[in-house]
Amino acid sequence: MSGKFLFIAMLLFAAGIVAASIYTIGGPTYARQEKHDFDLLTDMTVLSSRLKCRTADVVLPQKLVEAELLNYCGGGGHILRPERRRVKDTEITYNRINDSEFELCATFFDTQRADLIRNGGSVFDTKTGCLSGTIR
Amino acid sequence: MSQKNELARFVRDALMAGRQRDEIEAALEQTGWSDAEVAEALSAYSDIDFHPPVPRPQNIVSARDFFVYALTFLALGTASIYLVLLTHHLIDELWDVSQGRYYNKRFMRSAIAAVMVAGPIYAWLTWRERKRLAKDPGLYRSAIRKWATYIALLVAASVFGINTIFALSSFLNGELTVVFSLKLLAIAIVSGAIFGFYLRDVDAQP
Repeated sequence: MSGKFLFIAMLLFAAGIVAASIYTIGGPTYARQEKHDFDLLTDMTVLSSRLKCRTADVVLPQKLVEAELLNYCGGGGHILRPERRRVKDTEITYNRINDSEFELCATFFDTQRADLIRNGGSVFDTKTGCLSGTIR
Repeated sequence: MSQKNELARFVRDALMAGRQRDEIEAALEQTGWSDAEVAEALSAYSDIDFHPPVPRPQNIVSARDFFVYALTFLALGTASIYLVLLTHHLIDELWDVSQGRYYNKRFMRSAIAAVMVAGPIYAWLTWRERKRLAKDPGLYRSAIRKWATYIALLVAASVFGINTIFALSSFLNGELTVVFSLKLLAIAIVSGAIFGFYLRDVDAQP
């Protein structure tokens, strides 16, 4: 096997691996959407954790606004400020089901992504794009 | 004057005086010079029948060679390491070992970028140097080129050997899965190709 043949074979192998990788993981548009969805679910998870409260007799806030969270379970409404969000251009909707159950919903590019399903666990509904939780 | 210079001067004077090479060799060995030292000193002069003795060309060391070969081998190292890592992550993606993880894909994109930049730089520099060497075989005497080639051979052979040990040890422990075997194969292909390429390069030197 000549050196020239090895050289060309190695370049073709590298080109093949790069092409197969791009085909498998998607291009820049897909990557941008994937990052958006991943960051959005992270924002929702942070908000969901903020709504958890171990103090007895505390009920969920009526609205998810900074003023309501100031006096909710130790304060800390700053979490709702836009600068604290990873995704600023997609709204997260808060649905108060009852005093202790809530849902956080948003519009994702693709809720079926493996990361979203696994990160959200059983509480993330891939059909609706909602993360449901309880106060305790 | 250093001992080496003294030896070189003696060999030159002896050849000028019309002494035969085996006579000079015998005299030096009797005096206590090692075989390697004697051979090196004698090899500095060509054995063609010409008087005065014709010095052989010496190794070349130049700043240009340092720049070109350091850049070439840096590009080779970057491209080959990221190519292996990219192949490993691709195998994980295809076999669902990474479970479609976001950070796995992000790493793959960085690795693609590294291979896409370092790969063509390496290929272009190598192709360019090959053309220069073909035009002027005297450039094969570049000391930096020789060192860089042997370092590449050493690293590639070490990686190939360690990889083979891992493969054999995993096989003997009954842990050789398809995914793991493919990853070891990727390392073997890349390190084996680099070793083969530079070994042929050494053999091809005039």
